[in-house]
Amino acid sequence: MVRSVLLALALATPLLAEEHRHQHAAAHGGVLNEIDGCGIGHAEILLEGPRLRLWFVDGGHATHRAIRVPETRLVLTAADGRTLTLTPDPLLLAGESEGDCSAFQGEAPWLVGLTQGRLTGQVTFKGRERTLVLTWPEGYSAAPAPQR
Amino acid sequence: MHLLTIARISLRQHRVSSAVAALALAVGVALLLTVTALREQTQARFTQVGLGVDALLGPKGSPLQIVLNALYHLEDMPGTVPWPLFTAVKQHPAVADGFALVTGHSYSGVRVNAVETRFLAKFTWKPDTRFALAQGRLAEARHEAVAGAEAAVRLGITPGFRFCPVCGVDPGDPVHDQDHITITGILAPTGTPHDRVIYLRLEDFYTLGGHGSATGAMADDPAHRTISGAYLVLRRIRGGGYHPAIQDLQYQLQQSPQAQVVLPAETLPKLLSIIGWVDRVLAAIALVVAALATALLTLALLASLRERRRDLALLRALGAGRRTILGLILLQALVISLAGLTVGLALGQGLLVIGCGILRAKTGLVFDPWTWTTAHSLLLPLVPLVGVGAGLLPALQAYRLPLLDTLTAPHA
Repeated sequence: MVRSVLLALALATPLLAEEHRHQHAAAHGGVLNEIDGCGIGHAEILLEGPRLRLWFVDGGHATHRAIRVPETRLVLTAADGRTLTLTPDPLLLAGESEGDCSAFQGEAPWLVGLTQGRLTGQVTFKGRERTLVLTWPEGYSAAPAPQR
Repeated sequence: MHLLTIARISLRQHRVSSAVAALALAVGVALLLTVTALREQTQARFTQVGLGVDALLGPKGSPLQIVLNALYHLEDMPGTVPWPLFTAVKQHPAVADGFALVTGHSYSGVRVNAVETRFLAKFTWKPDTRFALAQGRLAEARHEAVAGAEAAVRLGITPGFRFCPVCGVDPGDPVHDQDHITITGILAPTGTPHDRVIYLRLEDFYTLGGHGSATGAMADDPAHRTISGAYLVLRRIRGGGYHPAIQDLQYQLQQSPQAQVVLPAETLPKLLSIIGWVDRVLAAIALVVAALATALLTLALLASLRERRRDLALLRALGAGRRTILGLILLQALVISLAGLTVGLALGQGLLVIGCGILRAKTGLVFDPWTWTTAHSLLLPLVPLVGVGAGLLPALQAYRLPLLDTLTAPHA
């Protein structure tokens, strides 16, 4: 009996994990990328032609809550070595400023038409330096994707 | 003898049971009509009538409370919004215009709100319609105010009337007894809650005695001014939808510790969904009453049939066919249900007149008791049908009445 329950739970876990991942809503309709795990925070990205917009938001289900970071620029590197620099785009109505800001943006001609991509960088998020991995069209997940 | 005459005589003979059945039906009809009409009008008024306000800028707190306070002049505002934030919001690409307001004052139970003077001149409370003056002129100088149409009627005031506003909206709140405000004009009715308010000039509000020097300084120093909130007019795209930047405005203010933007069109349906169970319960009660009334009608006709078995048999013996007897009972059922429907509609209309009056007094919205509703469309054909349906069982019994047995049976 116990074995059956454990087996059922083991089989259900990947499904539950995937459902959990899909529950988070991106406030700007972009792609959510986990930062050191779903519970820590996310970077929501939105690609608009040559412009990449990025918002740092909270973890779990609080993906509508902005998290400010102290960076005044973010340098992201693509797999082929090309770089993209993001600068602060403070939410002025929320009282943000450069160096205390949750939103960034940057432009590069090579971003135009990219249907998929991966950029990496570093960010001081919630008091710790963390690796930033941005992927699209599927957002980056720190945990391995479930096998179906 | 004509079928209708026979039915009339029969109904007269059993007037008490017929009247009880008709009355029960009338109560069911009246309840259904009232509940449906009030629900339809409440939803229409609270969701479709935007009162010219696309969005509200308000302090942090309950969005519903902000809507009720700013638009319907109920409750209190949960805090204040700094003026610089309001001006920054007005610069946002999603916002076409904004009108600051300060709530929280009253006079004899009527709210006294402070608004920017251009609010009464520029604000369109419905597409392409601005406020109009019924009497007098707009407030232009210190200690001048304009009254909404309903506020003027309620207080019995005309231009030239002077009053001292109360610093609060509750009984016992202090009176600004050093400040005599003169009403310079009365607005033409709009049929909206805008009619229920006395509008003071925003600059005047800060200088009212008793507000203290810090508040008084806000009159000349907008940078340190606070307001209760603001009516926002949003930019629209082709087709009438809001500008996509509204999403950014909402997100930014969501992060702000000082303010939020509230869309009444999103908030009010939530309120209606919360209180929606009330009218569902009332509608269920009305349906139960209507079902009981139908059962009563069947019982009344069955009782009438039991007493008149011999009469009906005689009718048959005199040449009336089975179908005539069937028709006679169904006709009686139809007459009773039509009587119930007529009385029910009249009763429901009376309840609607009273209910609409109460709702208007409580919300300031104009509810029309004479509007055609879904209930009218359904009840008019359905009640006679249900009545005839209720008469079907007694009618079939009458149809099958054994002529010889009934006539030869000992008379009860």
